[in-house]
Amino acid sequence: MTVRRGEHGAILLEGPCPVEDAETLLSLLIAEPGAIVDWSACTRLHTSVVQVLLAVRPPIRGTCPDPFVGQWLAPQLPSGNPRSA
Amino acid sequence: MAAVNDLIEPFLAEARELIEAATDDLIALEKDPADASRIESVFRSFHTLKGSAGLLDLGPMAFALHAAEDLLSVIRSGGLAFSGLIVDACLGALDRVAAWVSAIETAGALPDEAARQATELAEELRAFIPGSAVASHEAGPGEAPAWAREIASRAPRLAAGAGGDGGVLTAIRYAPNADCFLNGDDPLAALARVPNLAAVELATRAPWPAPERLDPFSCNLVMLAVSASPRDEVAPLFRLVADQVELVEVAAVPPAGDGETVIGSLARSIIAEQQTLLREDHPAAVRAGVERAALLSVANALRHEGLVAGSDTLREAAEAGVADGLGLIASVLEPPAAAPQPEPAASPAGTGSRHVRVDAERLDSLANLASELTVARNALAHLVAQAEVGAEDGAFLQRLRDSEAAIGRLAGELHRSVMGIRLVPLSGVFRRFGRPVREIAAQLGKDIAFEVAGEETEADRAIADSLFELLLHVLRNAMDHGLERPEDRAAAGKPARGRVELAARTERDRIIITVSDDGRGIDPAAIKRTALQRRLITPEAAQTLGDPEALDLIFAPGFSTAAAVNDLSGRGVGMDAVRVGAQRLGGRVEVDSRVGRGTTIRISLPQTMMLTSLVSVRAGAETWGIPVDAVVELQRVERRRITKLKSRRAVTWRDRTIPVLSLTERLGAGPEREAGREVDMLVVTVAGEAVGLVVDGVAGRLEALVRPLGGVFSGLPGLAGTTVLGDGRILLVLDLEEVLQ
Repeated sequence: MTVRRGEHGAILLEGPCPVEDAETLLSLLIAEPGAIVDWSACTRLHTSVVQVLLAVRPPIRGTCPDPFVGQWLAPQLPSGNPRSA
Repeated sequence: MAAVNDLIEPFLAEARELIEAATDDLIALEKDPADASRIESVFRSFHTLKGSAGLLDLGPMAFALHAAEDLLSVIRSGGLAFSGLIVDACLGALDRVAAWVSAIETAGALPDEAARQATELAEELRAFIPGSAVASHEAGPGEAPAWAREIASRAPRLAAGAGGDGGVLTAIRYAPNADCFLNGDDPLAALARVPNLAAVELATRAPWPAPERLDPFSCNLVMLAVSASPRDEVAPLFRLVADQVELVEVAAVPPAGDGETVIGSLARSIIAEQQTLLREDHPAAVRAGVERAALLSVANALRHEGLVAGSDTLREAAEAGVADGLGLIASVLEPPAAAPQPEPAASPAGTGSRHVRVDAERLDSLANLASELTVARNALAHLVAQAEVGAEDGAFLQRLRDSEAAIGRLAGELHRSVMGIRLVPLSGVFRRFGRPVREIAAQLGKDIAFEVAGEETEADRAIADSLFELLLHVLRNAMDHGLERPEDRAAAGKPARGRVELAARTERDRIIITVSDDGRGIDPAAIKRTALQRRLITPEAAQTLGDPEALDLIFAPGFSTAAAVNDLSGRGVGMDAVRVGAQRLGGRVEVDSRVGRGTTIRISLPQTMMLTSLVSVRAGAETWGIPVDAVVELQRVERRRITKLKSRRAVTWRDRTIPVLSLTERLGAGPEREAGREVDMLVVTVAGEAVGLVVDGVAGRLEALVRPLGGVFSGLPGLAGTTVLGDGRILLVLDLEEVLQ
């Protein structure tokens, strides 16, 4: 599983997150508004997943190892408390 | 959905008026781009349009108007000046909105392409805003489009001249198709492969919906990026999605600012737009409305071009409901010698949907009154027959009097019933607040108990229709500025849940609407400080200003400011708009506040726009009407009770001393008559102050239709209007506030 509910309620993105993960992520965020998303173990994000993050704007924890995401997308997303992964 | 339909009709009428007003302002601004009152007025029109569109869930319309409002907001704050191009773009936005309004009227919804149109429109408008992210497609030949210059300017390290290939950058605008995910595309992955990326900006095609309504498999992103590689190296990466990508080479050093071009034939383009609109097919039901709106727009455009005669012709035709607007416009633009001037047709039946829903009970009572009136008239006919043959007996005069009284009573009741049809309960307008109030509370993160009372109070339809916007401003202020944050409430020992009450009641023949909160209240000292900062009062005035007067400053133009920018209010369109709106309806607005306890805004409005109770009084040789609602009491006062204090006079009334003035003198109708031991005195209240007004006599009381002054009399000080008396004489009705100033 690349999207799952982790300990303490955070939503964890792990490995390469494909297009289908957008729906799973969205339903988790709807079920629990304000939940933190942790992407520190995510190696690749499909555009659809990025779109959910942009639309819902949950607080995000950690640093995404994908350099494109880290350099260009992370600054445009709300960060919870970066680097505290 | 019935509830939404209730809102659509007033919205359509309001939108057309606002579009017309904004067009007028924009054209004036093209001539005088610094006219502050026009800038304020056009901003307000867009602001109101956007708010209404947001409330009616017309997402794309609100989205486009929000962009226009942002642009105007920058201009309003002095960050940008109006140019011909900006005026043009705003007028284009109005045309688009007008077309949408027509679509809503005919089809009940925005057209399918509205979202795309809104996005394009918003981009075009935002392109003017310095430092905006999204930019326009359109650009002059040989010049990079604004979006490309904009995104290129975000590549600071390369802008210094170190561009990949002779200082040239490639700007990329990738707007993936909505269904691209389903085709297996991953647009960001494609973008990530672009060499030498220097900037990436994610924008949206349409505003984000609520998470519950987001379709995760429909792409709403628009990607803007800059590469320091030449176009030829970038293009192959997007070969498969070439139709969704624009690539533009731009100089590494971005050109500064937007060029300004004055468009000379602006009026002509407005006229062309309206002509196109008229050539389109419109259903019979809305044709008249479209014709009228188009003619008025063209008339405005012509007036600003100095073509007054043509403008007047079109305006008159629009008011008369002419059927052939196109022909008329053509004849005004190029009057052909032989072409016959189209005759203004009689107003077509059923021009709009001005239906009135009438309670069956009210109709029954009308029918009954009509029957009774017939019976009463028969009794009178009998008396007339008696008089004709000279058979008046001893009781004749009494019976004639009874007959007159009966007919008078019935006529009065009939009149009230007919007026009653115009009265609607305020529940209709009050009901509409539920949703926005909830949304505002959520936006503000406040827990708010919203209570409504007196919604059965009735008001004239015209007044009820105009109240929504006004009250929404007041409610929003109460929730935003009145109520404290939950933690502050707790600290003040108040329940966490704030209370806002909207209440209505009838007081004599006025409607009193109050909006009360149990929030922090308004500190008069803080108001004075703010007013000083904004230079609304002088330091000397601040010294002498009493607390009620200080509180009243919240209604001064330019006083309110709101930090938050949102869908409903903010940006300093505030309580001054509320006061102006209430005054337009013949009303007044007052504020009462206790620090720490809460604030109440009190709006007093006439119940009907039509009937006014008057006292007619004599002053000098003339008889004048005074609205009864200003009169507290009518007294005969012995002259010796009036004391003179230097040149002023005063009398004791209800244990206090009030000033005494002579109406005859105030009106300049000669000196007051000194004869007699007693005088007739009206105790009137003007701006909350009781004043004794000595008159030469009281002639009577009447209910009258007061018409505002028109023509040469308009603007005559001291007069509120005129009414026609039973004998055909004109009674001038006084505006006491002005007379006694």
